[in-house]
Amino acid sequence: MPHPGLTCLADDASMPGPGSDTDSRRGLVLVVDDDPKFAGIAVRVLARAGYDCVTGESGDQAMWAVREHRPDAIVLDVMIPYLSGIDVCRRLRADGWAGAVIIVSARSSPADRATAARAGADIFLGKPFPLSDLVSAVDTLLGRP
Amino acid sequence: MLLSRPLSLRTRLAMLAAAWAIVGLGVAAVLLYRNLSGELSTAITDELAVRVDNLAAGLNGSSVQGGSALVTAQTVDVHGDVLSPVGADPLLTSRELARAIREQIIVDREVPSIGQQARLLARPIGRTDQGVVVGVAAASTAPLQRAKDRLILVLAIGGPALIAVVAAAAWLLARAALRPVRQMAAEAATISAARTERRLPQSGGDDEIAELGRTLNAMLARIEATLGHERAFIDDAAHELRTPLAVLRGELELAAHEPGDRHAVALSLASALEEADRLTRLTEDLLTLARADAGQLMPGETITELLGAARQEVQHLPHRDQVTIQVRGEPAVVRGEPEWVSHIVSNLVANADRYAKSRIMVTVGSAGAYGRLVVADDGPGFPAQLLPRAFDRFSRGEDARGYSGGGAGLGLAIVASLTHAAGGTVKAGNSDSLGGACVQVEIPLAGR
Repeated sequence: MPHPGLTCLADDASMPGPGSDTDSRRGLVLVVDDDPKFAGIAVRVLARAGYDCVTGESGDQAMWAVREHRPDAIVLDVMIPYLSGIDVCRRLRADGWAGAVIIVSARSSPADRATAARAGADIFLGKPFPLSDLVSAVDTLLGRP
Repeated sequence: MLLSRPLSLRTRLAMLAAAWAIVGLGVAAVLLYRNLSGELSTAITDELAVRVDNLAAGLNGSSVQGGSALVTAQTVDVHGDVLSPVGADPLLTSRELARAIREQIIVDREVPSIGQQARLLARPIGRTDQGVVVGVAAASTAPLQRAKDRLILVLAIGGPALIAVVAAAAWLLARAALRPVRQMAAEAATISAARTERRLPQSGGDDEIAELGRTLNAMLARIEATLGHERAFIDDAAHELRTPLAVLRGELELAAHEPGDRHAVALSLASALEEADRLTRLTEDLLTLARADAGQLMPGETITELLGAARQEVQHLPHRDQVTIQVRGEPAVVRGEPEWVSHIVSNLVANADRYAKSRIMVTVGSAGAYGRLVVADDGPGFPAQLLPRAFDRFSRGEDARGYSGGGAGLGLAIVASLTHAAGGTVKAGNSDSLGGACVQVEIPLAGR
């Protein structure tokens, strides 16, 4: 049963976009951001690159979605309600979750990046960033060419 | 060559102590010299007087009381002839004798039988058939002069030495007393905007230096707090600006990469426009707060009718369909620009609209010398932990962090800034009547 507030976009992501490869989905990505517009943009560009996506808006939704959907990667905003993205990452790593974590944040000082790295994040992207960077980060972490 | 560097405080203190020592020692030396000279001179004169008294006693047949062997004495008649000791050369000149016949005289001069420095004391001591008998006593004053010379020598040598000791002691004392100040100065030199957590070393005790240290550390703590708030504000502002910029950039990128999909392009451009509007509002809010911080919000002489301004603002304010907004109360003319009042009303109502279930009540009235505006809603109210910082910048409830809450957390901060600029006060709480949040603004009435 879906967590309240969690949106499953697997169907949307399977819709063909320009240049997408509809025959071979490349992995499942969980996008967690309390800004639905930004989450929507991330989902659209990742779907276009061939990834299935689910979204969440808060830290507790992220924890639930990881257990429920077992994504290959998480795109995680830091400033999300109830449990910050850093806390989500830290808890997932403490639980032994080995998937890829990409932290995205409008706070991108060296201290913020170091905090994310210590929490177990694989890649940090400071907002705003080119959407190709997000796709490249997911491709790299999931070993997709 | 002039000194290019000012003298250190301890050097100046040492010089000041030396100057005071010179003055003090000079006065003391003069007083000592005068007193000692006077005492010695008086002692000689007294000795001479005793000797003359003895002469007088002998003349009257009384027993002689003795006298110093250093004193030469004689009795002479009115003609200047020495009566005793017989055959001695007279000590007095004829002019001195003429005066001594009438009164006591004391003369300092050379006396051949005594030396270059001598003192004579003569006075009439009796009368014989031949007339008045004058008693004369004389003694050398050379010991007095030698004592004075020795005193001058001691003062000339000892005075500068004493002054040097006083100056050195003052320098050492000043250095010891100022050591905590030097330590504070050295520590202060290492404090920068990047290391505001550092504090000056504090000496123990309760003296002036310790008080200075405490005062400076308290000032550093205030500076640290201020810088912390400014950094937090800049961080928050950067975050709030980057978030819509990220969406704006993303939408434009998507539109650029999907030129063939006109519907998708139209949606992206519409979304980009919304983000541009959001950025504009955010920038204006930040500008308003910056002007408030710079003291550029001045109420001037402009007045505004609060109830009418609230009704007018609410009429044009977009809000959720399920929410009704009621404005009621009595007119109140307050100080301040109409734009400020409109801004206050719109921010409070927009904030209430995010959380209200169905009702927002705007109440206007007067309370003493203030016009009062209260905006209440029937939403969940302020969380207890948010109330103390409800008017802080970028302050939002946990469930309103980020975009979904709708605001950047500047609305109530701007309300507070504008109200304070008008000389008023703001309070946040939860409404007894509607059960949700309640914000009260009081602005001084015009003419009060």
